[in-house]
Amino acid sequence: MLSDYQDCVTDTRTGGKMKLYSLSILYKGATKSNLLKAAYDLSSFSFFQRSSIQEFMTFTSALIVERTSQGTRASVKEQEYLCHVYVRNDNLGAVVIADTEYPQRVCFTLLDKVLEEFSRQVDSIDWPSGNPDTINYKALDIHLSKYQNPREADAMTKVQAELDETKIILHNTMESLLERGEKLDDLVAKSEHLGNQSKAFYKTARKQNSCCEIM
Amino acid sequence: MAAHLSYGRVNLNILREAARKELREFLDKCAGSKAIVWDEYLTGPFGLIAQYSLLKEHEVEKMFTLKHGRLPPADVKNIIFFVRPRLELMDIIADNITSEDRHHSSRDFHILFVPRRSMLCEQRLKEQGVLGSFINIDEYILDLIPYDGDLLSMEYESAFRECYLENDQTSLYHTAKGLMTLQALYGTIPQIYGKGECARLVANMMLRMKREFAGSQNQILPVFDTLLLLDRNVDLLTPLATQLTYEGLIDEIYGINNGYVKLPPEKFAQKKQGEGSKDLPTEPKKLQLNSAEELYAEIRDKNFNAVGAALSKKAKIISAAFEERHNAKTVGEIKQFVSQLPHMQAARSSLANHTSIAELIKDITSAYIIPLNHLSSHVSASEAFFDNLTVEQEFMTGVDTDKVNTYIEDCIAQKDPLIKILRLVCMQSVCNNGLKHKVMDYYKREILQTYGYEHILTLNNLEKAGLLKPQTGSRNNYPTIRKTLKLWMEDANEQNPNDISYVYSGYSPLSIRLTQILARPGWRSIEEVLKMLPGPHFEERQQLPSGLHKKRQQGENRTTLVFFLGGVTYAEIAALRFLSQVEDSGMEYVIATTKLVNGTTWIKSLMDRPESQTQ
Repeated sequence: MLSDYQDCVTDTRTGGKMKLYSLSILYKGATKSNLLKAAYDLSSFSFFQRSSIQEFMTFTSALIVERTSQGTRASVKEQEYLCHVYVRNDNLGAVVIADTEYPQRVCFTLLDKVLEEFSRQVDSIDWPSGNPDTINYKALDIHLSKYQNPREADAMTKVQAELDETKIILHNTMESLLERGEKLDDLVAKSEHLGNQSKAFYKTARKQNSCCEIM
Repeated sequence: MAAHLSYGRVNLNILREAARKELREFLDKCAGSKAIVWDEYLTGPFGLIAQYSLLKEHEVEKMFTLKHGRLPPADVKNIIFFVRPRLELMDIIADNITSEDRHHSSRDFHILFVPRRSMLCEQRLKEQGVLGSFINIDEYILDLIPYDGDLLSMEYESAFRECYLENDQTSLYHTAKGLMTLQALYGTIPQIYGKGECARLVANMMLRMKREFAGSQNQILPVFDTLLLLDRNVDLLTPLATQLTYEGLIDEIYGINNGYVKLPPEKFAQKKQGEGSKDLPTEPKKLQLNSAEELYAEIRDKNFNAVGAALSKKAKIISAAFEERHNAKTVGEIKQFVSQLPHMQAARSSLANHTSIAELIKDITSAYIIPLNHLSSHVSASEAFFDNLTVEQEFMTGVDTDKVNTYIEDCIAQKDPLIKILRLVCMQSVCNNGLKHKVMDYYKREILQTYGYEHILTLNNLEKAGLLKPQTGSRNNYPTIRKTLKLWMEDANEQNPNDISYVYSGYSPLSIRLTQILARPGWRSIEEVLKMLPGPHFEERQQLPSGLHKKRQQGENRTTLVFFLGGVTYAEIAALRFLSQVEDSGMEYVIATTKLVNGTTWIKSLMDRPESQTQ
């Protein structure tokens, strides 16, 4: 278990894993869902792949929302991606596509947050018929960018990660503290040696008192 | 509150607190900043009563050792001399005072005599013309000092010598005074038993002192049920024998002073990882030894041959505890483990120290020496420690005590340390009720010729004390005493003892046997044997105010204070602790003495050299 945490800590420091690729807000219609707004971070893909990947992600997001019932959160694995979806009871939904390393809980926090903000800024009347050009919501890119680093963005993750780091530091400090002083293995060996081969102190008198004790 | 005094049936912290209070009061009497000039001998015992921190609280800013010449500069208002009432020390003080530059400093001088004021000393100061310079002259009555939860000592080194050589009863007076102080704090002791001349004298003094306080009744519920006073000369044999308990051996080999031992530092140097071999420390390693250290309390009274197993067991327990850290997963668990760390570190450090000490002792008990015997042409190896022990045990069991012993002869020929020879020779004499003239003359001649004629004084002293005397013609009672009191127990169990004889691996100390028998079945059963031992035996009762008689609960133990007049060994203390622990003994013991001794220090106190009159 400790090694899991160690991996996580390494990740945020090097920024190798835990990526978000797309963040979309959709309206779940009766038969199909329509995209209201989307943000993408395709910087990790080669230039020529980007447009087709974006298409793929848009398509997948819509599909997932269509298949998810109201008031449901779900995580779907699609090839090497994890798609997290939340469809609210008012048919407003959001999908974030991430890699498998990115913590699930943070994704759902993100989706909640984004939907809440969106529903405040954009009137619900515009939802069923809206599209990215008509919808006036500008914060999606910012959110996607901020949440690339789950620790910074999400307070809880930050605390948990710090706790984990503390645990590791504690553990290491403990180890180094315990290094000081005599090695216990040495002491176990030494004391065993002491116990062995102890000649009894009695019965050293070789001569016996045989004669009478009167004089 | 001293931690090591808290483990025990009798709370000796009360005594210590009373002593601290008196010290504080005296220090406050000399108002303002102070410097203390110490009689070095007192620093040890005082350390057991108060640390420097207490002195600092009462504005003691500096401390110096008493010596001739000018006092070191110190910007303090008061200079206090803490001294024993000895004439030679008065001369030094006078020297200090007269060397004082009156114009530059106006310091107040005071003297604190420990344990008593002395008119003789004050007269000496008067003769030197400095008596008027002192503002406060007081006495600090430090008689019995608590050394551990069940151990008190006066650290009166010359008590045995004064009583048995010089016919000086001063130490007995101090003993009686100390016992009165004890009774003032812990209640009148209703029953007093004793054996020996000095015991009788102490009891008489106590009773007289009690009468002098006839008006005031001591209302404290008695903590001690019985006091047993024992003369050292009732059992001269025990201190001569080599102690075989862990603490006893530490004292025999390295010497324990005021609860501290100084050890050769090599085995205590820590090998730090990654560093090259540093210079080995040259300062001896000083360790405190008392029951506050859990591991020490467990092993101190064991026969040394059982210590290895105990250390091994402890090492495994501590090792397992440290391994627990791998099971700590949550922050909460880690936190809990970390909170235990200081205790575990201390336990490991304690284990390391005692493993090293045990190794040091093992080196000596299994040491081989290869003497070149000038009488023979070949070299023979011998186990020095075991050879010595063998001879001791032969004497104790009555083997060939009437002949010159060849091992002793060889040791003299090799010029082994004189005290080793004296211990053996005295033991032979005690076990034989005196040596045959031929044997005595032989030993004396060999000793004087090998070690010097100045030792004739020592030999005279030993004779006077009854340790090395010629046979008088009366029958040797020792074998009878040995058999009746079962002093020699074959097949002593060193690992799991069932009898006090384990402390000497076969020999049970006579003094402790007497104590044991007093509790059950009582001394009436050994009247005949008691008569063979020197001095009267007696019983006294002290009146308690009505209503203070203790109702004994079922299964509650009685407490006996055993007072050794003239010295006690750690092995004897171990034996008494053993008796306290025995299941149905119904008795717990607290030990008091004029001095903690071993054979070496005890014989040393009886030695005399013509040029060392000033010591």
